[in-house]
Amino acid sequence: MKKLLVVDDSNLVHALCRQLLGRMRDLTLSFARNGEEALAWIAKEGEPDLILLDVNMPVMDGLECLRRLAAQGTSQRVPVVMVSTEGRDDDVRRGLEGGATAYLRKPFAFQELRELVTRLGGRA
Amino acid sequence: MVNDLVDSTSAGESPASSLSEALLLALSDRDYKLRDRAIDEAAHVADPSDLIELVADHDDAGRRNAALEALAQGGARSVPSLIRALRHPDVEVVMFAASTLGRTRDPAVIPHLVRLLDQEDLNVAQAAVDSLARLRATVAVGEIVKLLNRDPWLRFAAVHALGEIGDPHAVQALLPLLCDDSVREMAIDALGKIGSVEALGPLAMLLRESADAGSFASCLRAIGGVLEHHPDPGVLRNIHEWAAISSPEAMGVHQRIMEVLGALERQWSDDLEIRTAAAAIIRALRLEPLYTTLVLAGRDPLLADVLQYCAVSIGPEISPSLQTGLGVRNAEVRVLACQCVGALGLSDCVPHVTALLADPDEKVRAAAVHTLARLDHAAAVPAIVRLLHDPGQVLREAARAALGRMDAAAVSAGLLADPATAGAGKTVALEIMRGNPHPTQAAFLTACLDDTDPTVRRAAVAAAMRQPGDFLGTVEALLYDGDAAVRREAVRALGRSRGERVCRLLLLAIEHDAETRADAIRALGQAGDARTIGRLVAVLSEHPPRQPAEIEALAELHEAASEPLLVRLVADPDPAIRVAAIRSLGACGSTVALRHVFMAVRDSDARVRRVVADAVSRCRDTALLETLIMDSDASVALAARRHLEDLEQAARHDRP
Repeated sequence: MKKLLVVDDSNLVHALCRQLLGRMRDLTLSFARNGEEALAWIAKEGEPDLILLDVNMPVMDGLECLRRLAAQGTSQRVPVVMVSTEGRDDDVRRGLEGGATAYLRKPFAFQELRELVTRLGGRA
Repeated sequence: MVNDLVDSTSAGESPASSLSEALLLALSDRDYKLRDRAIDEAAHVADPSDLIELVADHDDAGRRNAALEALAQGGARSVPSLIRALRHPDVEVVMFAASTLGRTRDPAVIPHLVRLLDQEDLNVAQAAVDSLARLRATVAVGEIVKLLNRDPWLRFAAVHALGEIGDPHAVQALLPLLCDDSVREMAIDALGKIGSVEALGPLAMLLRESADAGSFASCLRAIGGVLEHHPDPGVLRNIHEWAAISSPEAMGVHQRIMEVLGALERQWSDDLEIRTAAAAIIRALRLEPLYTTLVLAGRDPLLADVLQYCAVSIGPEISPSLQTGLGVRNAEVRVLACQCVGALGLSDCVPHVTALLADPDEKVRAAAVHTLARLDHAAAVPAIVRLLHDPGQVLREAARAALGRMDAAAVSAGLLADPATAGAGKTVALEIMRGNPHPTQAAFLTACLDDTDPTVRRAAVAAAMRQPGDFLGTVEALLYDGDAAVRREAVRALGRSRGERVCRLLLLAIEHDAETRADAIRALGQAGDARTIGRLVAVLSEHPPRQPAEIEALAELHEAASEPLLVRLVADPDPAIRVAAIRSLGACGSTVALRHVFMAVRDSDARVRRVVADAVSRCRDTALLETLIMDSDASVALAARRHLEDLEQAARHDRP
């Protein structure tokens, strides 16, 4: 069973992920509302197989969380997909240089998310 | 606090030219604790338009998020700037402003958000929808429904928002979406959250037609949501598609419900909600063939409360299934079944429950004890009395609790027949008798009052005073017992009686027995005879309190007559007495009392001054606290500083 950790403060994104991904075979979803909760979840439950990481969150934003995941080696072992409304090239570059595997701009096509999860979630 | 931020802002930053600038700089500090404090401060003092400027700066995501957090926490004071930001040339600032408005909890922003719903930029429109959902904006439901015809991203947001808002007017717009694969599950979810009975029929049909386990689970959960809003099954009986679920033709649904409740492992992240819904359906439709499945689901202790509720709602007709549950291998199920039998008062299950007193599992034995107590099954008393000596504490406590509630005559007979009651079990028996008195205990109690063991005498006093009839004379003798703990118990027992004789005895104790004085003062207060307070004060004036506990007991009487005595004690040479006196006067709270508390701000002992700080903080007197901040004793200064910060924080929250 593959584990996907969705890190986003939006209830809508959680619901979207449940709708689009929640009934995929062999995939369980877990949710965190900010970077701090995500790091605590990983410390307690172990590394997931894929992380969807929003950039703009309170308490600890996605870029800081990504820095910490890189520092502890997690982003070398676990694919991290940054998710953001910001689509500038600089933003994408910052994410990928920080250790992210992919960058998904909102609003994204639902099929694009499914394909990304299927492709990257099987890598771990 | 802002000064602290200026001092601790990361090295290497160019110095701020003002405190306000320093605060804004601190929002990007890498130290999260410092940053959180800066957010909290900025929420209340920073100019919201300055914070908006930080939101517009894309180079520092951390500072931008901190600024957004400060704007959200600022609540109503941030709203004007956020509304202005909805016209910002940078569309991302507009989106962030729309998103943050939802967190201000100010309903005045709703019209501004509604105007954004037809924005071309999907992220802005979605942020507006999300915020309207957070604000539970029922007035916006009509406009949100229109989004169901737009881009899939917005449709999704709209369906989600309609569920969060929970207005039944959205149901008609959501029902057709049950046929749309792309949003069906969201629509099911939303209908469950709205909980309108209109949705029950379509959801029930979908439940029967759902092709896979995932869709079935979603429907279950949504139906569970509707049932929560309509707990009376009678109201739903006329909904044809819903009632059809209880027909033999719906056997497939019954089977799948059994699979959901019977699954050994969690399948979904919302597994508990789904199983709860399954149980609710069995209850609401009275699906008798599934009652045993319901009981067996008790193997998951997280479901226990829900299952018990369902069983109790169903009533005695579930008895056969509970009897089955009492005999299964799984201990959690046996515990649940026991609890349900007790809650329903099912006397026909007594033989099965009694057999569980010999169960290999301690929790089950304890549950059986509790249930037999609830059923007041007197024949079980001897077996329960034996459990008072069980090696396990859980069983011993269960037995004590049970014997405290069961028929007093049977309990007395059981205890007096138990050989241990005459020996090592005497104290336990006396404690039970105290909670469950009966005249047949009198002879035993009288004998225990003369016991050589002071622990036994003490327990006997407590039990004797609960007996009908007059034990006062007997207890009075124990006021002169050689053991202080026994005398204190006798004093406490007197406090439950009233009358001149009781008051006289207590005053004598106060006068002559220093070890029981504090209890005697309290007991006098309990006796509730206001005429004695004057005499009490007179006795204490002649024999001043020497223990802080006595002073605290005096303060607990809340009698104005005791204040002059307490004031005199503020000048006592013993600092422990002065501490107790100041604390008591602070609790009194009268003008005179507080004046004497304030005067003690210059007491020579730091412990006294600390208590003064505590007392003045309750009066919200910041001037005195500012004096104590400069105290030469670090602990006093720190206590005063903390109280002052708390008062300042409270004053900020009280600001309009």
